[in-house]
Amino acid sequence: MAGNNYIKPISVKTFNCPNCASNVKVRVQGQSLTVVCMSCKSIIDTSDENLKILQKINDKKSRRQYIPFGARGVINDVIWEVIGYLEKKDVKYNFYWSEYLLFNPYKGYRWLAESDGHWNFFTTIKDKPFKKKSTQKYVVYDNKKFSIFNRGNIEVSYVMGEFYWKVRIGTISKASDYISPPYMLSSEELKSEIVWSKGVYVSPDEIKKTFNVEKVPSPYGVGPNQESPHIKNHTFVKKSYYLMLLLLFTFQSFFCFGSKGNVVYKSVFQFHGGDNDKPKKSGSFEVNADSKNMELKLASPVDNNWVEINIAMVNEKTGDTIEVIHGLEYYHGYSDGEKWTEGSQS
Amino acid sequence: MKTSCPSCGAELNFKSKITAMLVCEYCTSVVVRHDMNLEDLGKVGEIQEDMSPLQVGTSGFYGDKKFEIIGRQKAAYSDGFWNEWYILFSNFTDGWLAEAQGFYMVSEEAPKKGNIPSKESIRVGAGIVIDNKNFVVDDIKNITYIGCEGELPQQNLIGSTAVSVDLSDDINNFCNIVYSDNGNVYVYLGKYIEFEDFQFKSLRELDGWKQLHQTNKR
Repeated sequence: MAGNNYIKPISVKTFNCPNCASNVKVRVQGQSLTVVCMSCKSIIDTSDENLKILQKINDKKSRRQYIPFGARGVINDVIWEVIGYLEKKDVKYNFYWSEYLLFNPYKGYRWLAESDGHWNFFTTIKDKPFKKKSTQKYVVYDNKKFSIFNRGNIEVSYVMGEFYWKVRIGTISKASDYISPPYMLSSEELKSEIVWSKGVYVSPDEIKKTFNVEKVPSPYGVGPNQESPHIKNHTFVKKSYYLMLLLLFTFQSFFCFGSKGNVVYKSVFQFHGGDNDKPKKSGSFEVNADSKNMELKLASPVDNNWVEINIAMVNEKTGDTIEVIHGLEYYHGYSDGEKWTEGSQS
Repeated sequence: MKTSCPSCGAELNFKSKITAMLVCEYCTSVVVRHDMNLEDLGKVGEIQEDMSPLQVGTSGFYGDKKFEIIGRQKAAYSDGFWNEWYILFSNFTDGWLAEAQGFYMVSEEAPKKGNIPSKESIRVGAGIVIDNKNFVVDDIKNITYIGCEGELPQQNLIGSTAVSVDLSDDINNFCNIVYSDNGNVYVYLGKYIEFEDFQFKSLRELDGWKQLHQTNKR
């Protein structure tokens, strides 16, 4: 027995704060190991009847507690009561979020995490993600692939209420978050023990309704495991897309192969070097109104030479003009015993 | 077996043939059974309130096996505690129901222990094969028994210590090895069960928590 230290939590509903003598309420009699005095903000060690002060909080609260202590709400048919409130931060990015500890004597503890207005309901799990299929980039759990979202060190920055372990401000642990919207798997490593929990995204409206609170923070951006609101339409959109693609192909084919390919004008023009600004006229020809596309073909017997023609098509009725510049070049020769050509005569 | 408390004379009822001791519910004397002789080891006091919904007398189901809680011992370590409820199945075999922070694990003594490392050499992360399952050590705790009530199979008196080791495998089998300070090593195999799946009857009434569910759904 020598050397075995063990806890013997006090088992009372209220006690007097050893620092300021105010009445401190205990919601989970006999289980909470830390209770924070609301009056003097001392973190009291309730794992021992001597009730020592673990730490004093210097009011470093940087966020707001939206659900009060003692508030009860029904989630998945179970009544949960808010008994603790934590603020944590990512050590590297100085990014803060809140965590609410929920309690039910029959079911144990749950967590509500609020970050940037996005809420998640977390349950600690005893069965772990499948290790053999897991790499640094994802873990497999419950037949779902959870992709790594964030990894880092997190620090407790504020506490209030009561907890089932000895909480301290400044405690740093290694954490990883993996996502498979609307779920998230989080792992936390403390004192070489790794604890996994599974979270599910909860909308701000659901939080308001469940805990009967008037105000919750507005969500900023998209939550890590927030499901796209369009996800429900995915199958419909996918099917519509392929149908559209098929229709487009059908119409295009119809127009391509349906076009008559009638020749509306054909002629030969002779140009000599130096005829640069002497246009030649073609004479009138008719283009049917229902012809949509017109193809212009140009041919010239250029031989190691090039020609560039400015073409203007004038609508004799309206005066509308379409101008096109078209050129041809053709070169050929022998090089290293090989015949080469470049360009073409049409 | 019905008898009387050697200290206060109250009626004692040993429900199981294999239990070694029983705490008298009236005077909290620890009564040890030596065949027909009873020895009084003194009073242990009542276990303090810890908001557990279970009590001696609660009955439930482990799969399709019905059981009754006949005793409890409370184990504490440096950072927490849990309740070990001693359960008797209707066929008179026994087991344990460990309860901590809303997690419930039912375990029974392993049929074959296999090669268990010594208390001094066991390490977190070590792999041990028990009952053809590949377990890995998750956790090793030095525990002290801080309370007992009802009927219990071994004499884990208040203040006695043990080393409790938790193991798990890839497919949600759990194992608990207990190195008792009397030299015995116990190996238990179990599973975590959801509270609702036990269909508990005769639960303790908890102040302010009369109903688990808001609606009257069963």
